[in-house]
Amino acid sequence: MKSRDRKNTQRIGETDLGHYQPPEKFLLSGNHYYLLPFSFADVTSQKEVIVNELGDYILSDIGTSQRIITRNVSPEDPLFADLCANFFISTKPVPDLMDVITVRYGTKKAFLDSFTSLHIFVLTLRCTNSCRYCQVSRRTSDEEAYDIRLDELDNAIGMMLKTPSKDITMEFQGGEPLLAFNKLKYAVLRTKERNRDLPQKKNITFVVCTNLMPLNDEILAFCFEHGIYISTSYDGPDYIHNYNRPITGRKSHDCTLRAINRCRDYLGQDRV
Amino acid sequence: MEIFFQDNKLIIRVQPEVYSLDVVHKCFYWYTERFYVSIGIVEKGLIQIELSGGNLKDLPEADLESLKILIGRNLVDYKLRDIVSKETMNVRDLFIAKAFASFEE
Repeated sequence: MKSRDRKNTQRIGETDLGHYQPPEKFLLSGNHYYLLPFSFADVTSQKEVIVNELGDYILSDIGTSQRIITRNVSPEDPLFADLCANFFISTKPVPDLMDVITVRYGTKKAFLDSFTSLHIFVLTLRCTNSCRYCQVSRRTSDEEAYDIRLDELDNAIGMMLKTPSKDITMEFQGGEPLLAFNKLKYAVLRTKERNRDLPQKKNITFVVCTNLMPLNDEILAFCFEHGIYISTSYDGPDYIHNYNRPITGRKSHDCTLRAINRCRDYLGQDRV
Repeated sequence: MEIFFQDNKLIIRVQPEVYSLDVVHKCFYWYTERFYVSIGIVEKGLIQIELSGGNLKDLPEADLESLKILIGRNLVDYKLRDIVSKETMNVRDLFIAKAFASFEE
């Protein structure tokens, strides 16, 4: 070994540290941090929203995501602490709270274990009302051509019963589904019949989303016999409900309130 | 990046080293609602995007300038998203694997 080498190295048996950088070089310095998965989008011309895989979000000024990604957020910036606490960035390659992240992510995606459990059947586009916020392209009450066909119902029921989920909800919507009450009866009876034939029967909850205007004794009796839940809308005081949910020639608020009470009396408080 | 108007088309040329084909496709997918979008490779290996239709030829000069600025900004945004996606690939795989491993327990 040459004399120059003897000067720069320690004795045999001790660790040779001469070629390493000093410890200070390895400390977290400047704006060094690690990104965690997130995305961003403009909300207004001034603001953007930054969202991570867990659904946590931060509303901030336009350009914040660029600052984060280009490492222009310093540890002294209050934003830095928010980003760390909400799992947008990490001071380590693998965050200390990785277990928290995985549990939250697993919970968020838990539906994948049993797949789809809510199945919505739009029985008809016909409706008695003209609710201001309705998303449906409604037809008038006499246009039965806009009801679902029986073969379509059969196919949809078959598709529903293929879901891996043991507990399913069959929800009837429209328009106003009670205007196609014959189709609703068919759907419930056919579903129960086919469920009986399944090797592993499903627990099925039936719900009808209705404005209750077509309600009559026959409908109530059927709902009672088959345990069908009623879901309806009551928007508040009469001046709000009547404005939001007008019916030609009738006071929508009073009719709805009477119908709700009638359902509760017949079916039970917890069925409405 | 070059953006210019020619033959009633808005033409954008970018270097693939700066904006990859993936970034370009993701960015200009959202323009297909309003324009016909054509993406290809031209001389010097540049990626060329052509926007046509959507009343481009009738757009006032100010609106055309705003569109150019928007395109530039959108490309930067999608580039940033691509950076995040690549940098976080491993940690995302890690927490997804850990999250679903618990399903099997």
